[in-house]
Amino acid sequence: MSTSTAALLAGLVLLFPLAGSALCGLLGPVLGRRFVNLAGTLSIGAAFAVTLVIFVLVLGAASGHQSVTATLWNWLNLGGGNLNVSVDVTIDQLSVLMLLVITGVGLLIHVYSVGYMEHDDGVARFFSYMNFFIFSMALLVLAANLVILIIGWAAVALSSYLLIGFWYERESAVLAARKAFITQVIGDVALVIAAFLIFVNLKNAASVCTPTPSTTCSIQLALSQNLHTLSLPQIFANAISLGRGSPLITLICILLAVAAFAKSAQFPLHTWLPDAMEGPTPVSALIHAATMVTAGVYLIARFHALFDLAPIASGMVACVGMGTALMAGFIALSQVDIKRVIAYSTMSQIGLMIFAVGIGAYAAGMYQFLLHAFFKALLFLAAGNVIHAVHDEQDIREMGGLDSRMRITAWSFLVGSLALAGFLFAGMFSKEDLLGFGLINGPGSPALYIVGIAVNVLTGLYAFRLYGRVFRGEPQSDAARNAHEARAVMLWPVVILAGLSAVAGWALQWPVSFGPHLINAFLNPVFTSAGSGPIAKEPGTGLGLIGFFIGLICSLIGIGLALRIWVRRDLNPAPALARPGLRLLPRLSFRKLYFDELYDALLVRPTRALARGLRRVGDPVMDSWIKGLSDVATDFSAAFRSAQTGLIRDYASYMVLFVLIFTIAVMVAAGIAK
Amino acid sequence: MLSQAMFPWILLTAGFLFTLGALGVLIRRNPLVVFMCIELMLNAVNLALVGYSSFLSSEEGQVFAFMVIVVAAAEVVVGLGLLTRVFSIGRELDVDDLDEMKR
Amino acid sequence: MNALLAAVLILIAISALGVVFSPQTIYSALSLVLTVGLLAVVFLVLNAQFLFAVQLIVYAGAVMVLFVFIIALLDPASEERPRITDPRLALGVLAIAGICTAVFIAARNGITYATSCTTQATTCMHGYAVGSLAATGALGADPYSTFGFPQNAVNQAGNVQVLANQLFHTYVLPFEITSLLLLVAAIGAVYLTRRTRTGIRRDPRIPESWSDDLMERAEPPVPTAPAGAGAPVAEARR
Repeated sequence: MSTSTAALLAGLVLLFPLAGSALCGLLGPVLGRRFVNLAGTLSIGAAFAVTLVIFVLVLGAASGHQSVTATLWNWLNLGGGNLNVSVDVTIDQLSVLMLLVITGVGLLIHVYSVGYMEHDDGVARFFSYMNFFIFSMALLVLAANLVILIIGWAAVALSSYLLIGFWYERESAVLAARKAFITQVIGDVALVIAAFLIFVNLKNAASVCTPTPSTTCSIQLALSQNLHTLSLPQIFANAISLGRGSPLITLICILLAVAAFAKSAQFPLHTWLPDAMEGPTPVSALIHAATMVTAGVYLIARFHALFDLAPIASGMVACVGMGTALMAGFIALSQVDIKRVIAYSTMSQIGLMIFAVGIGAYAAGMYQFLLHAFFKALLFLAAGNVIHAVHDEQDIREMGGLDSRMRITAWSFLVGSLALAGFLFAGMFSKEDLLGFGLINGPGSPALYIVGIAVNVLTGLYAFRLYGRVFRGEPQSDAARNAHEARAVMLWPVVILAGLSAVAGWALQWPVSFGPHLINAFLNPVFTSAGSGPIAKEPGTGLGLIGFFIGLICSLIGIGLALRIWVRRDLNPAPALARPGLRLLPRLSFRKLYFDELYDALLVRPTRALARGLRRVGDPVMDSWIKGLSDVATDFSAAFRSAQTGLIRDYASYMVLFVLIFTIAVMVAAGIAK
Repeated sequence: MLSQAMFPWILLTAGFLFTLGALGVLIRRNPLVVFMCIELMLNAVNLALVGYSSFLSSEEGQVFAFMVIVVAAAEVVVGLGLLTRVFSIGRELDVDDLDEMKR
Repeated sequence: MNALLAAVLILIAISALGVVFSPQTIYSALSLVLTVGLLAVVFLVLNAQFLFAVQLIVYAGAVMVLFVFIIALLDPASEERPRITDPRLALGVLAIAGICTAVFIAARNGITYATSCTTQATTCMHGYAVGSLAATGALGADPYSTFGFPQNAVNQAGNVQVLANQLFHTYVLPFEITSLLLLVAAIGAVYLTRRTRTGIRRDPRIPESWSDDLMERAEPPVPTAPAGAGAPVAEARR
């Protein structure tokens, strides 16, 4: 693919959603709902079509030439070439995979939204924001330039704020949107600082050998002057100049990781994700399941060249990811809001993805991302159908028995839950894939692997708890009793996603040595580049196979337990949990491990106290100072005001007086001049 | 024949008339009298203009004096109309009483 | 001629004093009429015949008549004696003294004398010189060229023609603007002195004149029988 083609196609992918956003936002209120539905969905459809074209071209390109960087236009050129920012895009397997998910799943969700928002008056605003989100996310994954990346990153945070707070008349929604945005700003700051550090410290590097998976390289650094470049390909090519394992590169990678954690809702910046469920369900499906929260994973994957050189940072990333997965799974067990359960599930699954990219299994992590996008969006959309059906009730304790009333949704949800838990569908492939990596060659690998299979158990548990409470058993409320299936426009995306979840895993990649390995074949070229370290060893035989089965068994344990407790109702964990040691666990889980309270005490209250104190000190000073200034002006003018008596005679006397003075002065001056 | 030596006296008279009119504006309280003093000042200016015109042998002074007369006539019309209106609504004809143009 | 001019100037000063210091308004007006008439005489002496006529016709004949009418209409018997202790009086007298001195000294010392009578030893005002010389034919074919009259004028030009030439050639723009000013004054006079009729139903779309607002402020509105949308209008005092 030539650079001009790449530029054109990338430009179209960016243009269509942006145009859709502008059209819906500006003309939508005027032209009505049908126009908005059409424009909002068609724009994403067009973007998806272009993405397919790009995909075909990338597939068909000769190996080694699959990555293209093109410039759309030169944006800033300041200081005589010192600051040169162009809108650069990179089209390679990684970005096209992300784009496929963004536009494809995005298209399905937009279609779903047509039905979901049919009674909402703000539909024009909704589609405008959604299209803008697609645009920003596309900009983020296409960026080949630090500045464009940061812009896309920030625009995504903005879209998330706009969409979470979509029902802005609800105070809880506004607060949640604010919380999300503020937390993500922390990540933004980290990203910007990392960008600064890279920009200042990157130097030119020439290597003498090409690394392969089995040999390391002795790289000779030809340290010329600093490469002040913003271009990502150049950064990655010269990443070795930052030093292997040096404090500098560790710091940079830690900052990048912080940014990723903020965006992907990992510990400790995870508190915003559950609250973000205040937004409409399609928003949760798109942003908080399929795309935005995976931007952190993408960031680390994209910057793999740097992370390969900083094993400490990668190790930290892996630990945080797996820790978050465990924590989120634990919390999901006790939540009663259907969307929050799915939100914590997202947090947990993304933890697994972060773990994967932390240990260097980038392709496995992206595989998990792909499949997770399918089944998580599916779960959210199906949950949206359920919420609609029970008249906006989100508490699972009020549901039940919906499988006979909403057959299609129930079956799709079952497929999704199986995919999530990792049995038969999707998750079985991607999760075991990455856990296998963890077993073999991650830092502290056996420990993390064990945590990973514990996560499997938890996942099976909470997934089928949710399924059992919502769809099985007896209806717990009148709304549940009278529920009926959703409309066609809201069912088709669910069904399509269910189909994808079911089939994709089987078709794309098996975590064992036999079967298809399409993902690895597609993505590995991206993650092997001159100057980066050796790629993680692929599992598949021997220890890997054993690991696969252990993981699968743990998933089944979780599923089985859940089925017995919540579906067949012949096992009750309550007595076991009432024992003194375990009594704390349910409360810890329900209170989300008290993180919100912790942050409130540590951060919010001191800041407020500080603000109050400063105000008490500063207000009198500022008031007196500024008031003093204004008082001076007022008194001054009051003095002059006394001259305005309103009597003509007074005004005339002023005139006469000054004419007299003036005449004498002119006379004297003329006399002196003469 | 009029001699050059008379010219300063013409100017002096004009100046005297002007300042006398100004004095009248200052000390009289009846607006009609004030108005008449203003007319006196305008006439003083006219006198000076015509004096200069004759003395410097240029008729531009007379043209300007003509304009002054026209403007004075227009101003008298409007001013007396205003005063009539003020009187007809019952206000006192006293400049110290008509003092609304103030802070 | 000099003696005549001096006498007239003295009379002007005296009648101006009468304008300013008369207790009765009507006497002030009459003094002003006298002043204006005497000024016309001065114009004539200064060889400004057109202005002499205009001054008498417009100023003495129209403006002052208007003044006298209005005084007779409004308060013919008004009287007023200015206070001697008024500080403004002191300021005014000071101004008179100062400015008159300044003007006289400037006139005496600062003004260059124009070209004198060419053929005579005595110096005189230029207009006279030209006129007298033209009568004798000593200035050639165009004796009034010094007044800015076109070179090829055949007739003996008079003051009116000279002024008209300037007025309609060089100063035509101020002339037209002044006529516009007169129009505006006429409209203003009509507007200011119209009477708003009382007790008639007023169309609320027509904005109330400012004078109605002023009238309401002067006297509390007298409630008339409701005649429609109009606000109650106070009776004008006659």
